[in-house]
Amino acid sequence: MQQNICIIDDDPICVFGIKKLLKETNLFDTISTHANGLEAIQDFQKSIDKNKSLPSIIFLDINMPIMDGWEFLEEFRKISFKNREHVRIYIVSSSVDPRDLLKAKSIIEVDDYFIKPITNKAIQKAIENVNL
Amino acid sequence: MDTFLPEIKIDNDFIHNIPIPVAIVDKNLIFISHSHHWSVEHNLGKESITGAYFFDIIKSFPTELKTILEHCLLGNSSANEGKKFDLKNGENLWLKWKINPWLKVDGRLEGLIIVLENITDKKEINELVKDAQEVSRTGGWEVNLLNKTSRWTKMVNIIHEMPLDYVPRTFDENFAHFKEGEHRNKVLHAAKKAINAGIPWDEEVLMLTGTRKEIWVRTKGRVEHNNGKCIRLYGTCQDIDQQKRAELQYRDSVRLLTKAVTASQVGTWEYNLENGRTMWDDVNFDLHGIKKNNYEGSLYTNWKNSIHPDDVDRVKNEASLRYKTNEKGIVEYRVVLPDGTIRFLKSTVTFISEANSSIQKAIGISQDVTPEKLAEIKLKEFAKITMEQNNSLTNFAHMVSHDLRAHSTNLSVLTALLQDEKDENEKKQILEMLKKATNSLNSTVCNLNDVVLSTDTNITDKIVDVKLLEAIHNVQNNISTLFKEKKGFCDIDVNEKHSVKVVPAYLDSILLNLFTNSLKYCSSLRTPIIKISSKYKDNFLEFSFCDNGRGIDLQKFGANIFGMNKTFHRNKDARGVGLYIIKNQIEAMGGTINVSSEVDEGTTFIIRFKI
Repeated sequence: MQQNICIIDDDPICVFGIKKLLKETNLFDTISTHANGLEAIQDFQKSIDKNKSLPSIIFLDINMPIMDGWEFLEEFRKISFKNREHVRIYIVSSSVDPRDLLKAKSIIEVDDYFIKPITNKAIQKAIENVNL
Repeated sequence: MDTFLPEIKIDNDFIHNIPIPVAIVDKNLIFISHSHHWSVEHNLGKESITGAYFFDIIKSFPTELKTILEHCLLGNSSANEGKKFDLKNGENLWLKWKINPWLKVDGRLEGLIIVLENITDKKEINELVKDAQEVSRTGGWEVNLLNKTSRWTKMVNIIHEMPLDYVPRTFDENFAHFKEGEHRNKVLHAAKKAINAGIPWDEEVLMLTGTRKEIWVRTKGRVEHNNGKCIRLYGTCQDIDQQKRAELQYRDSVRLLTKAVTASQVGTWEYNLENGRTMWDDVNFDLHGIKKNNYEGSLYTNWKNSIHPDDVDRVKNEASLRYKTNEKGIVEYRVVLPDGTIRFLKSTVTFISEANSSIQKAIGISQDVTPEKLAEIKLKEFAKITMEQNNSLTNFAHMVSHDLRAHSTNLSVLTALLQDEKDENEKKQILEMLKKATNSLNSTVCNLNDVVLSTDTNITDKIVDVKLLEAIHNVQNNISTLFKEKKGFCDIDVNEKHSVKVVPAYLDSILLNLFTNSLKYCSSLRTPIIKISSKYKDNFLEFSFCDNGRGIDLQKFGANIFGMNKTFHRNKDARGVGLYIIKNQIEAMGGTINVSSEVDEGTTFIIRFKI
């Protein structure tokens, strides 16, 4: 089974960093990136239409233009449960605002909250949780 | 019997006319003759009783009297000023009599001469008077001014706590018992006036009793004149110590209460719910700014008219609700005083019903709470400002931490990668990113600085007159590249004479923000057109900035569009913080900003500048 990973972040440096760490694991076939939530949702919709499965892991930033992380989560929930059942979502944000952490905890689709910079350990933890 | 009569020689007509109740009886207590008064005194009617037996005629007389009469038939006299007999029917009978044996010249007893009065009524009145004196502790006294002697009834002695046989021996001694000074002088003065001018007196004064106890008495006196000369001084003396002391105590507490009420500036009022009668005290009139002796119409109308127009309806509703439910509580309202100043009043109302009647009254007190109210309003304002500032500070702190963190994180990640990277091409790429990251950090710091400056309200000395049109053209020139890139188009309808009072740098920042926002978020379907116009309105210059861009979903973001919460994306042209900054700048200069927008149609900002 093909394992996809998806990074949704508007900061190219961040994306670059996560990609570097993921490549070292050699576990994933494809790493897709999106600069905001809207791009990602539109891409997911296309995949579902083509009967392709969604990524197993999503690294999601919160602060993004056009559609931010929270809005993305709202849209994501509208996808039928069957299609998103196996998707793990990890928030990766530089926000240390306790209000953001609380909000993330209250959303069941979110599996964990990592504060930037994301570490090797965090990546390992995220991968272990996925049934590979 | 007839044979005796000539011998006895009694003139019946003569006896009949004697003006006292007298009767003559023979040795066997048979009536020989009697006066008309006798018949009247003993209720005997007009029929003659001559020849009848004494106790046949007056059956109700006690048997003791028979004993007395029999004793007299032995040749003895008997007299009594008043003796009480208990009758069989439980009533009392008082008799006064004088009985003499009727003796012939030779000493032979012929019969009895009886003077007998029924004084029951008189005696009972006297008893009543005596009782009344005791109950009311009132005694009588008199001073004979001719022979300077005095007489007191026993009660006067009792009140004076003097021996019962005491009587003042001189005229002056009559006044010696009144307390020296004010009290004695008062009575002496009154007595003098009575003697000289015949004016009676009635005074309440302190006196010292025989045991040196101080008590209050009421002394009343008047005089009797004879041939223009004052011959007698008489009157009453009443012990009123208890009542007087209670009264004085009550007066003291009333005086204290009045003092306290006046000093505390608490107004009191009463409203009779049955007949609408209203009573106010002086303080309440003062508090409402109504002249007590100089107002027209009803007090209710005056009260209503004194209330601040914005409060009248509410107060009327609250008052009538309370009158309906009889629920005590507090009503607060403002009054407008005649000089136009506003006073805050707090009126506490409670309800009472008078004993044994259905009359309901509302009573209450009014207090001036203006200083407290003003302090409260000020405090609330401060609390609001503090809360707003606290909020801004929290948001600002998070914003700073988030944005600076984002960049510092990137810098550390990139330098770490750079250190480990062997590939030259990769290194080059990382260096390029490092350069971008430092630039972003720089612009973020600039942005944060702008935010800090925009909240500075101490800018009065930097405000100058600026021609709006010139400022617009300047900003337009500065971003001509962006205009060309987006193929943007401007429709400016601003009078070149229109000028506004602003901080020039702020105006530039505001215009720059509006232009760049419009161009960045222009619609991909249309040529960007920006329409700008200005007009004077209510001492402001109203400046309208209208684009045909993507628009903002105000239902979703309306509350936060000028806020800091959703702001500050890392990319420096993010919309949120720009709006936050320009809003702060506009308000610091005394202006306002409003927005209206339709998604996919465009956005219009209306800004008012001071002129």
